[in-house]
Amino acid sequence: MREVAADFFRNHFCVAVDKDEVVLFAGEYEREVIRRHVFGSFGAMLEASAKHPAMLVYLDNAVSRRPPTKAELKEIELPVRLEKKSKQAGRAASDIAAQRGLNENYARKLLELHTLGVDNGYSQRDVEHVARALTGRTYRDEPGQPIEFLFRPEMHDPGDKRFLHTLIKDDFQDPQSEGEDVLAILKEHPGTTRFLSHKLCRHLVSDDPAPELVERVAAVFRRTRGDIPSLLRAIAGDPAFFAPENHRAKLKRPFEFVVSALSLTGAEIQDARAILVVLRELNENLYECKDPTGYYDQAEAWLDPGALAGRWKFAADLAHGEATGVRIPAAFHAELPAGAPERWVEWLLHRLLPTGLDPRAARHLDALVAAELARESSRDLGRLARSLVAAILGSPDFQRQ
Amino acid sequence: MFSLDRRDFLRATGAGLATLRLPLPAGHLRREFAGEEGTPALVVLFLRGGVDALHALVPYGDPRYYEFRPTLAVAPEDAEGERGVIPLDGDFGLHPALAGLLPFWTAKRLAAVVAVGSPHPTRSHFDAQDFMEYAAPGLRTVRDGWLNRYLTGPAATGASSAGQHRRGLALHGLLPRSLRGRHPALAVPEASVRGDGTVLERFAPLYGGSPEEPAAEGDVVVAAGRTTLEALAFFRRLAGEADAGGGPAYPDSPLAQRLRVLARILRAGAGGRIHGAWPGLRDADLYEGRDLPVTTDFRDVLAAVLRAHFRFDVPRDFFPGHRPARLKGLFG
Repeated sequence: MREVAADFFRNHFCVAVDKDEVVLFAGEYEREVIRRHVFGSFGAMLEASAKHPAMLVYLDNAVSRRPPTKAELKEIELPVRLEKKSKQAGRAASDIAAQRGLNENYARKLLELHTLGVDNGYSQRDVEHVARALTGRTYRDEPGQPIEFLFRPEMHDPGDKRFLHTLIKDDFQDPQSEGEDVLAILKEHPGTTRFLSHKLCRHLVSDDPAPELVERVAAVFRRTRGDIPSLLRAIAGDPAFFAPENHRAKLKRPFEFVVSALSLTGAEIQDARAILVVLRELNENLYECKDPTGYYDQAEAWLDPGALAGRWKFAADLAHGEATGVRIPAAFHAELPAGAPERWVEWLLHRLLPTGLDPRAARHLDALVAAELARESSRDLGRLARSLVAAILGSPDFQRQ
Repeated sequence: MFSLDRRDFLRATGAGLATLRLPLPAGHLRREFAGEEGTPALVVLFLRGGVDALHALVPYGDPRYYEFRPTLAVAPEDAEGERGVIPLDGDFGLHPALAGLLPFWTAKRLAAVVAVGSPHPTRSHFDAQDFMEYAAPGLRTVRDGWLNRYLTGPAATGASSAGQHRRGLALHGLLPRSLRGRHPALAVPEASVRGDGTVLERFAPLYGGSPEEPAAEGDVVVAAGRTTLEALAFFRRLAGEADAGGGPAYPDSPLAQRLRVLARILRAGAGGRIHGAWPGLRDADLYEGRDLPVTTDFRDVLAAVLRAHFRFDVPRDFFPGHRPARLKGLFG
């Protein structure tokens, strides 16, 4: 359950290591933000992500600062105006300078992706005011000092902010509290409650979860103030979770496919980097999502015509011992009922796919066994076992959760 | 290197193959790849991270450009070891890193349209991207990409309606949204581009694949498996043809290798000109006081390409809620 939740929230609060220094912070981010809070509250994870250097760099809040003051703008405008002998040129220069500074990227993604969801009752003005309230939240990066969250008051944009009809008073004494106020509003906002509940149900139950289910989960969110284990229990204990129409309704994402294949076969991992290469070929590079949305978890995003080739290739390579860096141990095959290959399909399904195969795939597996046993010479039961494992891992049913 | 995987391409043919299941005569394929008459093709590269158009095609004739970008601007000419713009027409020039495009410009095979964009005011990168690929700004109910709508659209004018088939293909493991929709389009995964396809066909019996054994209603996994098998078989034939054809050497990068197969089908267009209306960079003209305003709706450009290149009579409802204006001069 911990891994399922960590996977969900790693995508929800996505960072990508190909942006600037994020690569240096991502490991700690996973440990201190995602995993530390995965059995805690959503709000705590939100606040931790908002303070972590990985997120501050990834979505640019680390460089977001107040626009220049009027006096500072005058200092920019005057020389340009005199030099070009044009009032307009001076104003243009100061307009440009005025726009430099505030970076709305994190504020926008905070509302659009982390909490409320897109178009969920906030305006461009809200984004701007949230960005202003969050100015100054950056990180310390000095020799000999730990790299950690740092509030720089000189970068903070003073003045009152208005956000979702709430006035956030200018706090001269403690400007850092303005950002905390914003996060406090967001973490239990009804919009956040609905957005998160829907997204969790979509992740765990079905690509298009029933509104009643989402509402039941949202009620738990409100009652427990976003306690993540309570939310997971509510979903796993809901009748909808066991409803026939939701049985195996979810497609495994490439990450889930690879992880399940490795863990169910007890594969030994000699070089974890090889797994990253496989995930890349399956278009789900770990920590390298192109968009801060995280990877999509609906089948539509992964089931393009042609898309199964990569999964089959991995299934075949892993089963036949040709995958780089990972290997199914001899012990796995040693447990097969010796001298009774006609029982191998049953045994392997019990290990790898307890919910069973569809009739067509089951017939194919039986045919593989029959063909091998029918060989007069050069019968190779090891090859048979490997072929059966490949077929199960590449079957339609193994692609489903 | 994996930034390349965001760049998908499409190729759609105006005539030819009835379905991918038919055995394809080799000569037919060679004709297609050699770019003989009668098979217009379109390659779409979508730069998903967003392209800074003012950096790629520099408006170096507009003095405001240098005011707005005091440090970032590309100089009008080479100076102090810094390379300047490559002038095209006195107003616009290429970024020096794009020097490789100059021969195409000189040969009038390259054109650009400036200040094209979407009329929808969203500042969400992802929504903007989706709106572009669906060519339906603001309409979240549209789920067929604009290229897919072309593939399902009525026959091109002037072509015989019998045997009129169009095909979409993305050289990528996943289809871009612009190509997704009701019309079947193929994604060709990289594994098969590298030519190790035969082992994968051992999985065919798990997915049926014979037409007399249809996939269960709504079984998307089995359906995807069957099209994967089709894609593998289809691409192996194409790749065989391309390898037999020889040609210039391409760099050993994934995108270059993908484009290698396509290069021969490119044709001369409305090249050697900058199209579109340049709005200038005066304060009063800027969008929300900070961005280059849109003077040409991107759907008008898409419509012009479909009309001129495929002789496709763009139906009234092709772009929901938008009747594309005719662009003067683009494609003659």
